[in-house]
Amino acid sequence: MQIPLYEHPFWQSIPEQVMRPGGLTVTEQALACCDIQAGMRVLDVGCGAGATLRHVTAKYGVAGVGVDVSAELVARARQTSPQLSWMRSRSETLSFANESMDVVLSECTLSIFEMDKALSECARVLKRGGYFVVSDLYARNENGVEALRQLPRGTCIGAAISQKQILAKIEQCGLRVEVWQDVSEKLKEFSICTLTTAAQVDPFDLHIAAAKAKLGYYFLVARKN
Amino acid sequence: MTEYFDPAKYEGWVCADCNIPLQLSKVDVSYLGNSFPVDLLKCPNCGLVLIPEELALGKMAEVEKALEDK
Repeated sequence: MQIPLYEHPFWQSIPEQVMRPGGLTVTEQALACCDIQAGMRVLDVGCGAGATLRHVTAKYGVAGVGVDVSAELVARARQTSPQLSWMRSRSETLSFANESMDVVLSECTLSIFEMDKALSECARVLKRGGYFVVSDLYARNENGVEALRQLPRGTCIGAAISQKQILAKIEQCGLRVEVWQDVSEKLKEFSICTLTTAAQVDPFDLHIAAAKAKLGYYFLVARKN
Repeated sequence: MTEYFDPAKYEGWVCADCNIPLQLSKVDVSYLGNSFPVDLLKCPNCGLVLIPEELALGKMAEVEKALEDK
């Protein structure tokens, strides 16, 4: 049986086990655009083994909740930081009350799930004026998106869409995008080739598709209207 | 057989400098700042790598073209 990409052992070999390009640097860049106050409730959707939530709760004194689809990663997060709340859940079906979160983080996870449903759920649980912080892959060349779709399933790369499409989807959910920042240079530091090995995707095919789509990385900060 | 060429076709090929048979090894292919590992024939002594014609004119050329935006 093939291991899901997010549970592949290679993630444990990278610093702080932050499973995305840019790691905590990009998270910090995005949070610097928000007014985070101690005591706020922060939900990390796709929290993995919990590295980001541990960092954010320690630095800002916020109350953290992490959800992830992987039972193994949630167990690891819980074992490392039992004082925080961890839950196994998909992004499309969050078990939280409406308008119960001040901040929702979704880093490198939107393109893994059904984006429309996941966005709608994140918007639902956010309080009015709350911050939605996203970082993810995107296609800087909309005409090259089709090349990404031809890649075998197994990575989030094949689901990347354009900035225009992302912004439209987010605004449809009643969120207002305040900051969009391209951080594509983080992709090179991240070494996509390691990802291709883990996901068993042909590296030549991946580089061809990524180049055609001008695959990039971004973060954005949106607020609920 | 690797994904990109048939090693049987290159059986008996030796390194011109070391006169040692080439061996199938993991090689880092790098181009315009992008690199990834590929199984290619390599001299175990000096590290000389053979890039088979079918790979050079096939997927490798395609990657170059895509990365250079031609």
